[in-house]
Amino acid sequence: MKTTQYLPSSAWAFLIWLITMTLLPFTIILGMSFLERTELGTILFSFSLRNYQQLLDWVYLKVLVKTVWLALMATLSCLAIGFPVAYYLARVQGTMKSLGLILLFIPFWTNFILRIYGIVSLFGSNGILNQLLMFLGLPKASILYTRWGVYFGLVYNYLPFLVVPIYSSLEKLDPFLREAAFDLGATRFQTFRKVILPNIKEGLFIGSIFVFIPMLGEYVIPDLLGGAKEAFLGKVMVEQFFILQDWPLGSAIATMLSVLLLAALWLQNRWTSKGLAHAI
Amino acid sequence: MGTQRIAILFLGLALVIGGILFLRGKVAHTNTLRICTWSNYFPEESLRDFTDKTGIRVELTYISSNEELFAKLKAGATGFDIIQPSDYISSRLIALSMLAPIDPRLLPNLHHLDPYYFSLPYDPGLKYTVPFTFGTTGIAVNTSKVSVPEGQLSWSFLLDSPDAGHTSLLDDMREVFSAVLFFKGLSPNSRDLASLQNVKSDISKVRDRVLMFTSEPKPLLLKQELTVAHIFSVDAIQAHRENPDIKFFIPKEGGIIWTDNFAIPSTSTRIEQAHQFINFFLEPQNNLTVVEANLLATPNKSTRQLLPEALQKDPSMYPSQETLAKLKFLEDLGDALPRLSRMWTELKS
Repeated sequence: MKTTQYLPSSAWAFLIWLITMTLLPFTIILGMSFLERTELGTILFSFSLRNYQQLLDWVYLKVLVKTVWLALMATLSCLAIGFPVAYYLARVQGTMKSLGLILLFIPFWTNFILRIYGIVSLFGSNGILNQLLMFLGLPKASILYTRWGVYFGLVYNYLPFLVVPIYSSLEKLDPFLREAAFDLGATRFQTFRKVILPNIKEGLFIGSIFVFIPMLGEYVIPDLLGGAKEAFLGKVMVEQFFILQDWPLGSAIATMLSVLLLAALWLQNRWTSKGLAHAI
Repeated sequence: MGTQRIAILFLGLALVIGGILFLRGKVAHTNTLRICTWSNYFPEESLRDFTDKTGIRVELTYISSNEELFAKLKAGATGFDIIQPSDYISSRLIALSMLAPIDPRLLPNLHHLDPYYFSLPYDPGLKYTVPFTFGTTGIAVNTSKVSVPEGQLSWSFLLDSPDAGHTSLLDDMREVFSAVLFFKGLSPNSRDLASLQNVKSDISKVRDRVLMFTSEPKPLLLKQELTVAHIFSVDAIQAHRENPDIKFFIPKEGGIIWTDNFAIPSTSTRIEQAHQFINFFLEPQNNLTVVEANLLATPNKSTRQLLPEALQKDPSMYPSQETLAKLKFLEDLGDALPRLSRMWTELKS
């Protein structure tokens, strides 16, 4: 009997899912981004590059740059806070490890919007933080409804998503590698830089991308914690769809975000394969 | 091989179930009116009354925004017999011939409506829509925290708020532009780019002063995070119910008025029953059940006479004739809309 080339049926199910739920919608959005909006908010089926031209307007470019900058800063902060946490969790054993992991996942048991409202009651002008400050005789802090509020919300919300991939790649790392490095006379820093980092950089990169990209499209956090005083890309996109009925322009923004994600993944692919070649 | 068979079996099963559900949807049509409405507009008892009296059953679908309704209809959602679009979406649906004409002969209760509502700019003469409820946009003030001057309030009380650190504007570009346009004595439907540019720079100054933009100021007013808020009358009335210090004002320069309507999509196959439904809820007693349940403002003058005295005379719910004359509906801005949207993004960028 010859071996069949067929995919297992579970893979077929996945493939069908992928095509109908990811590829098809993306194709529709891509296609729509080249159409136009009529004055009545319906879609005009004629090919046009106007939406992309519009995105090159300095107003939208400014929004794009601002959004990228904020997402980048928030991602770097997540890395700075998340890496030591992941490192600790991967090395510690026993109760502390399970406790740490549970603490990491507990926020996911609560609805996202509720967690954001939690921050509102924490940082509000009559919130817990300000009551504490007042009790200590310090001036009130107004973090809420500023860019800092948005930044804090992003870091708070996305941190676990970055800790998990770093943790799992550190967990997979053979502990003997570290010992071997020490035996061969490497310092702690050298071990980290030459042995640990190259082995987990894929996890670091993927984790960062999967935090950075959704941050670019985030609109609930800027609305609720930033008081909608500044326009970020996600909000501008949502407004095109739900308020202005300009689906083509909204689709162009969505396409741009997807292309950014693909470009980042492509870069990562190149980077890691080059790294491999270098290692060999 | 085994797993493959199971997969095929599942696929087949899914098709059969899907088919049954699809047909069931079609069959349910026979004596059922399908109504697309907002949540908490129709209390269950009012619908039960309708079914008891007419033998027509109703099935409700809820929408949370006009844009969602519009998208549903454009995507080809047929099968709705009644929809409840607001004024500005109604005018779009009329322009796109997506509504069936209203036949006044099938609505003997139409005369209960206040004459004001027969000459609305988006559907004069009520050829395609029948107003169901209405509201306004104005300013809510927590009068225990901020003192309000004697006489009528001006939009400047919001734009140059005495407590700017606790003031919010609606996160809605048309409403915010309208507030400033009214203040300057201009029409909220102005398409003049020069004056809109001016308004834009005014708004960006206000933006720097106020605490935030939000379309849901009610919870923040109640928590006293806000003391002055640009707000829809419905939210302000509800906030007032929970905290009587919170009062609603329609500024002296005028404000926005909106309606939610009954309309029949042109794809409906039960035009006559749909009229029966509209007529039923135009009848004052039936209308009262609906209006009282959710504290809605009704354009039905006969129903209004049945309301408790205090409610009838509440100016935040029923503006005086004089105020009513100063209220404007938002109209479609046509090709000026994308520019306005760009200005809105610009002032927030």
